[in-house]
Amino acid sequence: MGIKIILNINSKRYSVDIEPWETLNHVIREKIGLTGTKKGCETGGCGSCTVVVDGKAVYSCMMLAFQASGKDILTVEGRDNDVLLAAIRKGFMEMGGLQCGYCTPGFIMSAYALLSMNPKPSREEIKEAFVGNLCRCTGYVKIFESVERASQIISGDKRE
Amino acid sequence: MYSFRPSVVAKPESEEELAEVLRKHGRNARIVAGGTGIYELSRRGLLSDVDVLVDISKLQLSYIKEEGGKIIIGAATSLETIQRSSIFSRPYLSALRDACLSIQPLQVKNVATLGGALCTALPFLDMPVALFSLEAIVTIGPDMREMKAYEFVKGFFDVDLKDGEYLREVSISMKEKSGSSFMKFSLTSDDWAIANCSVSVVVDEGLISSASIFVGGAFGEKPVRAVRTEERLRGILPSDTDALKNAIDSTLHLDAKPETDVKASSEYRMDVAKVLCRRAVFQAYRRVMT
Repeated sequence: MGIKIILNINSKRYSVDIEPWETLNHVIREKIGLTGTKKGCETGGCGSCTVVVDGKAVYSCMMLAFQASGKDILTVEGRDNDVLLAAIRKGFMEMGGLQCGYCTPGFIMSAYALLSMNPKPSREEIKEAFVGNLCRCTGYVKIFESVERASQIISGDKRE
Repeated sequence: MYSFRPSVVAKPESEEELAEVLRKHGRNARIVAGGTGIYELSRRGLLSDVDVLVDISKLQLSYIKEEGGKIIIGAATSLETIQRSSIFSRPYLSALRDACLSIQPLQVKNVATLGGALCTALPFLDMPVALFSLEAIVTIGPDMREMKAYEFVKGFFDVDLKDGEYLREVSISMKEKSGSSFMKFSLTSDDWAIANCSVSVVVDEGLISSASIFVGGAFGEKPVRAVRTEERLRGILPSDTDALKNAIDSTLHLDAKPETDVKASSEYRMDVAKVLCRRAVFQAYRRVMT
């Protein structure tokens, strides 16, 4: 039983044995051991499981692992020398965009998908990108500010 | 608790191969489109007979085309693609865009597909209601059989697909002097609708000359066509708010019979549906007139 698939996560290739019903979230966390991606509601509402697949934010709990086979997956652990991810992390640290931190990997990945398409989003655009992510601690304002800070950092980098 | 234990993933390279897999395995095979509904369905035991998952990602069924007076949408087109396409800002197609916008999490819309939403056939989904009001036609492969989307959805979790068949595309005919609108009310941004309503109107000399109205949420096994409201609206001037309110309030409950559940009573659902219907008719009308 089981099938073998190749997952490209953070520019590394992982050959894994999976069952057809296993979610991408389960495989990333339990089989590959990248536990930065969280498991939350499992019904597509909380956003803590968000990863970026082929440039788009998706819920890893709502995608079966085989669906991601051969696609380019990015998790909060990131790839080496990723300037955008580094800027987002720095933005969250500087602006205090987290408290308990459970939702943070999901917010960071939604922010990644947003900023890679739109490096200078308005506050409204940031809010839209985060509709599918819940945070129960911060009240969101500091998260929005963190993304705005990340946006400043990347546009600063471009000027240099 | 889980009874969802498929053992095989089939990845057909062509539509012929897809039909072959579906014929061979019958009800035990199920196409995975976006996959966002799997968890909700499986934990209710609705996928316990599925042994073969069919991955259709190689079949190029994601497209939006304009051809012969029709807009044709591939079954595997994501809701995000539809929402982003400027085609759906045209007045007569706007209900479909409204329905996409009403589903909030981007993480769902990036993968969920139009065909998946139709084939899941749950009465509180948004896309079917919008498609019904736009009088969408579905094309079923491999024989390219065509039928109304409203008839394709037979009831709860039940669509008109025989073994070996699959939903290939959805088409909507272009309409002159027509506007449409979709409205929904739900308790939270990621919840299913308490009630939703989609309306398409044709306007002649400032008055409604015909209307197509569907109500969903929990109004039976599938969204309901409000035939008597459609008839009452003929000849009405929607900016006459009293006339519009009277027409809807006196007729919508004759066709739409809402259920009571943990989220809302039947009476509450009916009230919400009437308000949504009124607003949708008005917005659809305004979209033609401006």
